Amino acid sequence: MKKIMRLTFLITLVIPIIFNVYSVRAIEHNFETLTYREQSQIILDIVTSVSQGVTDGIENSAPYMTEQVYTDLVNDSNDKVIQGSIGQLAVDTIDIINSSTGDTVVMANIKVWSQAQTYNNLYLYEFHINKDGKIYGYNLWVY
Amino acid sequence: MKKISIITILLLISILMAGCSNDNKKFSTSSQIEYDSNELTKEAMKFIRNEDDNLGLGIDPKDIATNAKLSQSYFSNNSFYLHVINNGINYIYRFQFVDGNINSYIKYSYMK
Repeated sequence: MKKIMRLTFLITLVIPIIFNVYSVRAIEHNFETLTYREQSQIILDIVTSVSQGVTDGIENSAPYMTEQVYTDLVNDSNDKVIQGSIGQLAVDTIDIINSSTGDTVVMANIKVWSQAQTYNNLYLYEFHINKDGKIYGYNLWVY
Repeated sequence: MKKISIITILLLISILMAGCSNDNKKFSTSSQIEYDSNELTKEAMKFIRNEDDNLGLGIDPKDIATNAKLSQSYFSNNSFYLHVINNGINYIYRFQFVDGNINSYIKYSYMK
């Protein structure tokens, strides 16, 4: 009886711990499970990196994107696709139900101040998120 | 009996721990959307083609896309976005809500 009791006690402790460890691993670096503030911060890191021609923000956000997107963003940064400092960022997250493409979409509206041109440029990044919570593609639009 | 009760309590605590520790917030806008997106899309497309201005925004002539065909649509609680193709060229129109009304729009051209 004592052995059964000990075994039961052990199981009640070990099973939840195992469950937790695997659950945490499963949701790690899933863009969709982040709060709005966290999502906005990742987007800000990415667009700031691109606009400043550096890659640190893209590298920090790399766990939330596919390798292809990472490469494309680094190329954008190197090619100086956008140049200037981010003045404003407004992020709209659109879930599957409200997206005609059937995936989660993140729209990042950004205002970029360009010293060379002495005016603001407006850009729109359209990020698409796959079922694993990774950015798997994006389009860039300009006003 | 006492030991069984302790085990029961431990079991309950463990189950609660497993259930609560991964309580991540999932951002969702769907519950806040109170408008008919199909109707809104229809009216916005008329607006873009300059057929009608039931939205009351007053379209700029340079923003008119007479032959616009809807490609994709995205609705959030702050804005909705219509990706249209006009004579083979891609555009996105962003319509922004302020206090539940469409307040303004902006037309973006495809860059890359």
